[in-house]
Amino acid sequence: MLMLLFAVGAIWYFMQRARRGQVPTVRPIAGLQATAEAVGRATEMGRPVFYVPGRTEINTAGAAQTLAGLEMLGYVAELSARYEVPLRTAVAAPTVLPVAEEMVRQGYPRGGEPGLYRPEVVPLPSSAQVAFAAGCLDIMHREKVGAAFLIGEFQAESLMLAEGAAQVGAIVISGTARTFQIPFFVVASDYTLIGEEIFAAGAYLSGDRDRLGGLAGQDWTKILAVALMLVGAILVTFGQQAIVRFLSW
Amino acid sequence: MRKEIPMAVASICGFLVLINFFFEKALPFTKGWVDTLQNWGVVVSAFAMGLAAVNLVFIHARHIARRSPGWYNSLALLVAMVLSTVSGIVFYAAPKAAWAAGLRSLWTYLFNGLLKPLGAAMFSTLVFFIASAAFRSFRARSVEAAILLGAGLIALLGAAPIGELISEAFPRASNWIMDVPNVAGNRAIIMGAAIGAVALGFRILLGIDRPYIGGE
Repeated sequence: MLMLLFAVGAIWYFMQRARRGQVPTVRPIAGLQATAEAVGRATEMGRPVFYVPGRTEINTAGAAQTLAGLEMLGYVAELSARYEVPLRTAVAAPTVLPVAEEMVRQGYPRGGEPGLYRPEVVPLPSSAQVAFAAGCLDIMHREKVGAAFLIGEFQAESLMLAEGAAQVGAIVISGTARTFQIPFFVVASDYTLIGEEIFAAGAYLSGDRDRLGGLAGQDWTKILAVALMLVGAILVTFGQQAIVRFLSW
Repeated sequence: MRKEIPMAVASICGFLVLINFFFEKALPFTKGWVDTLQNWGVVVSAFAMGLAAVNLVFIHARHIARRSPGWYNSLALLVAMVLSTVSGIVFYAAPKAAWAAGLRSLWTYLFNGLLKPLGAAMFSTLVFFIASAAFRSFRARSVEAAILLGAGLIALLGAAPIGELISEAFPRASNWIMDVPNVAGNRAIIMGAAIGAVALGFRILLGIDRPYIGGE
């Protein structure tokens, strides 16, 4: 709980700093920088953009990843409207469906094209894993998508989706915090957001001061965690269990 | 107010669950509240399932009405959906009726005879995706790709019997790759992701990020 309090305190402090004008510099993240390029390329090719915000429900342990995927969906919907390129968003979880619809519905007006929204933009092919993968592959191959975004929590279908999109010539931007699926995304995608990068996507793409400040707080929490680990490793090597006792308190 | 009320509800519910997680012994009354919230979550999820079914019917009915390419697939989906739903509901409503056995066999056939083998067949195609992805990525076009190729080859030879036959160093090298750099990278990613999830959760609880109401 102390770590959580430190994290919350650090995020709060850096958000306040950012509000006063001291906005932290964020390192360039290739996958996020390529987002506009991918949508632009799909536009030039005259092909739709395809987006999957993960496969898990919004009320499970993977919710944070799903929410991160949904945040980025809003930005991709905005870009799609700006470039007037069709967007297809496949969701697998019923609880994610209304949120994804709302993200797209609100993203289109921001891109200047509120009239582009149609219910079939956000289909729910299936909640079952392989049936969902088959549905997504069907959309990719039938509509020959030009760009595919796979951001959120995925399981064994990750490689099917990333490789399936690559096979139709789409530029693939993927991201997940599930360590088992990251290697599959890395080998099959053009750009991969690894772990925490997906949680930074909303802040990075929006350029919002509060959110960028939150990222700095997040980094300081990570620095503290690494410092605790180093000190702990040294102390344990010399037979001292103080840090272990502190962390398991 | 259209945004403020959902934001306030989300924040209060989120903080309640968090308080209960850390202070359940000190504040035992919060458990009842959190249990009730979780039950509401189950009810909302059930409604979401209904909404998803409506979405599915709406989209595929449109495909059929417009005779879009592959419209017959949409028809097959809707027929299977109606048959499976009706047979399941009617069977469980009157399991002892004379006609219930027929409905049960239809329902079981749709699940065990169609859905399961189709799922297994689809899943088995994963091997071709792996082969295709491996072929594309295991090309030493850059230093990183060359390292990936080298590590992949050592791991493959270390896991296959032929690797040990060539040299006993392969299993040892493979184990080292899996246990040292692989675990180190994994733990770093898990730690970063956990802190990132905490930060995102905090931003959502405070209403700074609002993906649950469309992000506006």
